[in-house]
Amino acid sequence: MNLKLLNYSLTSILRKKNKNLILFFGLLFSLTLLISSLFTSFSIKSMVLSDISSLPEITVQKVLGGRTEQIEIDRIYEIQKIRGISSVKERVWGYYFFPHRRLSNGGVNFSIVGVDLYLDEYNQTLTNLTQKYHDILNSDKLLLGKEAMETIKLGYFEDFFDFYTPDGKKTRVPIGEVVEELVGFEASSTLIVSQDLGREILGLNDGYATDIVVKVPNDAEIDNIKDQIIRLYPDTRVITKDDIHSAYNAMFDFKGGFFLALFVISSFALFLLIFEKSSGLGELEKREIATLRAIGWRINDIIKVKFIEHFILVFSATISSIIASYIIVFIFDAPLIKEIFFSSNEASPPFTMIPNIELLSILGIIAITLILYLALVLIPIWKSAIIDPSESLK
Amino acid sequence: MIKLQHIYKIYEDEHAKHDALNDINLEILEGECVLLRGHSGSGKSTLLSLIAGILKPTKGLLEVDGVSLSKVPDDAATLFRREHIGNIFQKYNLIEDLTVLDNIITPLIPTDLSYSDVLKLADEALEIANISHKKYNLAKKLSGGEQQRCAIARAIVNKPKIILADEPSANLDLNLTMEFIEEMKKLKSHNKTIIIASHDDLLFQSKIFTKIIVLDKGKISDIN
Repeated sequence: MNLKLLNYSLTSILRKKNKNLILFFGLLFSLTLLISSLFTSFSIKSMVLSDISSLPEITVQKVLGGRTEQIEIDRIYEIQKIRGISSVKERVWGYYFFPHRRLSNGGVNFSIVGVDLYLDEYNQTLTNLTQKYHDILNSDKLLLGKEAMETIKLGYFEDFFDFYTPDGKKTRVPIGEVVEELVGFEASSTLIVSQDLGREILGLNDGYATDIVVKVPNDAEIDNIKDQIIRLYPDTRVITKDDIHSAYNAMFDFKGGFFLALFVISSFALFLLIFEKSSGLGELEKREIATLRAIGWRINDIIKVKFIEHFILVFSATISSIIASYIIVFIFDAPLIKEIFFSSNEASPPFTMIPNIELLSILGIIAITLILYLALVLIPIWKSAIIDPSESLK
Repeated sequence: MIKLQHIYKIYEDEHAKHDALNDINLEILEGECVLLRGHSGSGKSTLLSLIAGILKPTKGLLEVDGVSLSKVPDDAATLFRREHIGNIFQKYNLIEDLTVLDNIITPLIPTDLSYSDVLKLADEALEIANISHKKYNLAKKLSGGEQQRCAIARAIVNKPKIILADEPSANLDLNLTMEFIEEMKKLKSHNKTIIIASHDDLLFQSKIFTKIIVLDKGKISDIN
């Protein structure tokens, strides 16, 4: 590496500092827009997928007139008889709307989860929490995550929370513990109570549950078991984990695609601007290239210097945009961008993004940006360098 | 040192053909100081570009310091230029936002020389061109005469055997032209081969030239 060439490139960046600052900030803005949306998407997607991954393979719901109804727990015994099932368990859960004007969407939907105090739950986190906080739950107290606690504090609830049951009765539930084990969406939206208390809050009758979950160890058997459950109970809707996966993926692909389309348009416009600004070489730059050629610089030397100059520019803009995106998304919690993925009509409680970065996608963006940008800039420089310098010097 | 035999340079495009140089035969010896005279469009600049290896002749043999420039590839011609030729341009073509020192070292940047060697050569060139006192000034802040001296320093920094100057006094007043002649005398005393293309009478009247070649419509019309 010829350090004199590197030094010339650095001097060149400083010489054209106004033009380079415009380019730097243009790139920084465009890339930050893209990378922060990707960081947001990666983070939310991983949080959602981690929730889904803890679900059993099959969920059975009772449907009447197209709407979901509470399901008889007795059905567990018939479903259990189907070969290939390792366990069947009822779930007592449901959404509970907590209205508050200080929340951006007028209120949030918490997930009430009623846990069985004596049997294993359908996922390990719940089983562990039930075992660890058995006494708290047994005394009809509430377990919740840190962010859910922050949300209910908005309603001045510090030591207890008032639920209103479907029959209009107020049930005051003491807060037992704010647990660290709940992370991601669970930390912001899950309220854990005993099954009996859950039934009371959600208005479920004794002997009934929200749905029934079925564990199937062999993936190849899932569709077969799904068919058998439907045959057994034609009034049920049987949802597999794959169905939920597909639904969420479709949602993210749609929203991600929407954002990507916006980005492609804005970045294309930006690249046109960059192309106009930097690649359409000005007279001074053409003259400089011609002078360098005339005093003994090879085309190769000129391309090297310009490559280093623009590489430093675009690489520093890319690294800065990654840092800026990280700060925007994971420290300032992705203002505006989060709204695209969770619009205001979705009453999801405020949650904190968990850093999750798909390195390959980021490297892909960096590579594409570098290649595209350098090609846009270097081609005109090369064109200018190959013409007879005496022409440009006249 | 420089030998041109039956040199033609023809510019062609879709519509027209222009003979810039037409059957030029010429020999310039080492240490000679040559003036190329002629009106605009007579082929002076084209002839200098051929000798510098910037252009290739359409036809003919061109040999400079034993190298056949009519045959070597472009990169080799560039390397030859870097090592053997010093160019002084009509408008000096300094890089305005660089200092005098940075301008002077530009021909040495792509070379393998160490930075300390480069600075040593630059100091020598600054000394010869009498511009050391403006070493750290930006080129755009220099006066016309200082710019000219900076251009001369850049042309000699690589210790070339041949110095080419295209209309060097076109933008100079009388005093600066005289100053330029003095600089050329100094370089001549260093046994440099100097070729100056100019139609300036003041240069013509100076006694520094060993040969005066008159070009007319791409042909040599007179050699003194």
